[in-house]
Amino acid sequence: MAWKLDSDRPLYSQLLEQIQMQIVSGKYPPGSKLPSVRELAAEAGVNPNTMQKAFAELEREHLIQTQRTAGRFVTEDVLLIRQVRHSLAKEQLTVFFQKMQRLGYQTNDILSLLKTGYEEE
Amino acid sequence: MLKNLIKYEWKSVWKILIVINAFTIFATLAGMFAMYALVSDATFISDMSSVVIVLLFLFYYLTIIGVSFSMSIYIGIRFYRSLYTDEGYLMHTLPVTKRQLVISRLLVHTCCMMITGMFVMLSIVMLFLPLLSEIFATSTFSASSVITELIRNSMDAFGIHTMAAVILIWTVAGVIGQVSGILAIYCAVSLGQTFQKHKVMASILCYIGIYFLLQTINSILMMPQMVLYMGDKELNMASYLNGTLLTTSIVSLFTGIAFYLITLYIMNKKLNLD
Amino acid sequence: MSYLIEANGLTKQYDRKKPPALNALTLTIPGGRIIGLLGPNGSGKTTLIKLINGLLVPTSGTITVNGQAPGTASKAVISYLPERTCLQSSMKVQELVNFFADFYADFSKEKAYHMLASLHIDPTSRLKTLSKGTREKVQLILVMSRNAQLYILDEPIAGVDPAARDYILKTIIANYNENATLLISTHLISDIENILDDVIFIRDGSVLLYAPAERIREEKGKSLDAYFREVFTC
Repeated sequence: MAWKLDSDRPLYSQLLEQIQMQIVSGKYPPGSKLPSVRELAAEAGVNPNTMQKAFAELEREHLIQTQRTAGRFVTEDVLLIRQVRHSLAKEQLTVFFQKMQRLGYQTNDILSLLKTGYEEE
Repeated sequence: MLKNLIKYEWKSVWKILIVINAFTIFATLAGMFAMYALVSDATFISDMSSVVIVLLFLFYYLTIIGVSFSMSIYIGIRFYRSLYTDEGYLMHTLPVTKRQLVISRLLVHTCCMMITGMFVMLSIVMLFLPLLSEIFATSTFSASSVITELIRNSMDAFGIHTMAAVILIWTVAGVIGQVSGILAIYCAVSLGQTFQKHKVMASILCYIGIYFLLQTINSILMMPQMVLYMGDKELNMASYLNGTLLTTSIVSLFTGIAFYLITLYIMNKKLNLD
Repeated sequence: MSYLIEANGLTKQYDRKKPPALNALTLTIPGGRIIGLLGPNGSGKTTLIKLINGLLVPTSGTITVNGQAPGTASKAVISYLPERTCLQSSMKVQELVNFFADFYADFSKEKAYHMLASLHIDPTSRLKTLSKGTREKVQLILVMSRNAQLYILDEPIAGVDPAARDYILKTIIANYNENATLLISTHLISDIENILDDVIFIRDGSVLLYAPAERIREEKGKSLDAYFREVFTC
């Protein structure tokens, strides 16, 4: 996958978001093995220490688990992944609504626009 | 590590060494041909124009003078290039001491100079062989007697009793002279590096300065020898020659040590690659 | 804890009539970091690098690597890429590989040949027949094939095309030993800023700033490149 990193923001949080996205979207299915920190760091063109930090945060969220010798695995807890997906979706919605409100739409307008706009497509 | 340094220095210089000695061999063949033409009665050669013979001798002479000189210049360039130009970045960051850097080059370069010198000596012997055999055939003179007499007189002069010792002394003196000469080149190149600009030019000027300094020291030290030789009829040629040889060797030994220490000092304290 | 590099009041003055190239610079660098040494031309980056490598003797102050002044011990653990081609151009690439293997106990021929193959460089070709960019790649490959404690790369990517640059950066990340520190001096900040742990801004021979890269992004909301331009604006 192509990593898209923006040098204006801390890389660690961007890496975190993008790995979360890959887990939620099923690119790394539940229980699957993740590449090593170094491989992913090389792929993304970032420092392994930064990638490590992102992994540590994912581990804290229990989204990934480290098995001492075998490496890192995506959690098998499908419920947890669903939760994370839900909260990511909520975040996107918040951003979306904020932008629409800036354009001058009310919540109801947005909802109806969403329906018609979606049907048109 | 010293072994590795020697190995790579040798790899860098052996081709040039062959080229230079090939010149000696080629010139010797030309010289021998001219010499043969000069001493033989063969008609096909006596028809040869004397201009050609003179030219062949000139070519021989210039080559023999030139090879040792070219080898010295090449040694100076090698030393400069490998330690004071871009290549120096690699050489001075290898896990070796400055002493090893200098010694490795000194050993290889001494070897090159000795080989070149040996070829030159052999060449001269080869050239004069027909002439000498001609002379010895017609007189009571013999080549071996000339040399043994010189050695015998030298034995007396040194106060030693074996021929081998005399030859050993001569060899050691020759090596000291050669090594010291090479160190003079290293020292001049290194001194040139301490200048801010025109480093190559400064090196050449330093060499000229060192050369004249050595000449002056040698002639001053040889003065008493000379006076003695002139004034004393008892002293023979051999003891005079050996006396000067001894003097120059001692001068070479001490100046060589000085050149070595100066070179090391500059590398350790004053290194400043562009 | 002991530091990998410690500079204390490090001063280097080439010419008495001019200001010093390094002016009482004090700095400690730990192991296990990728550090960008950033500064405009003439700020003293190369002088600092030469002092760490023992290519210069300080006018005053001290510099130590692993607690020792530069010498054979420090040179055995530093893998240095100078900003110029320091290899003998008459040598073949494979001869250079052997040269490095002979002098550096931590050199891996296998790694070198692997990288040469990835960049389609023929080991039997002589250096002088290769293009300038390829020569730089060869030199970088040789330097990165060592398992050193300190890698010092002076302008490592200046003459290399973008595709090879990506490969080289990835190679650096994939290959360097985690306890090793990489000190990269460059003015092409945007190309390398994502791989840096820390940055050192250097100006007029002194350290202006030494901070984690992520902290600069966080606090300034700017890329290192943008922040560098702001700090060093003329």
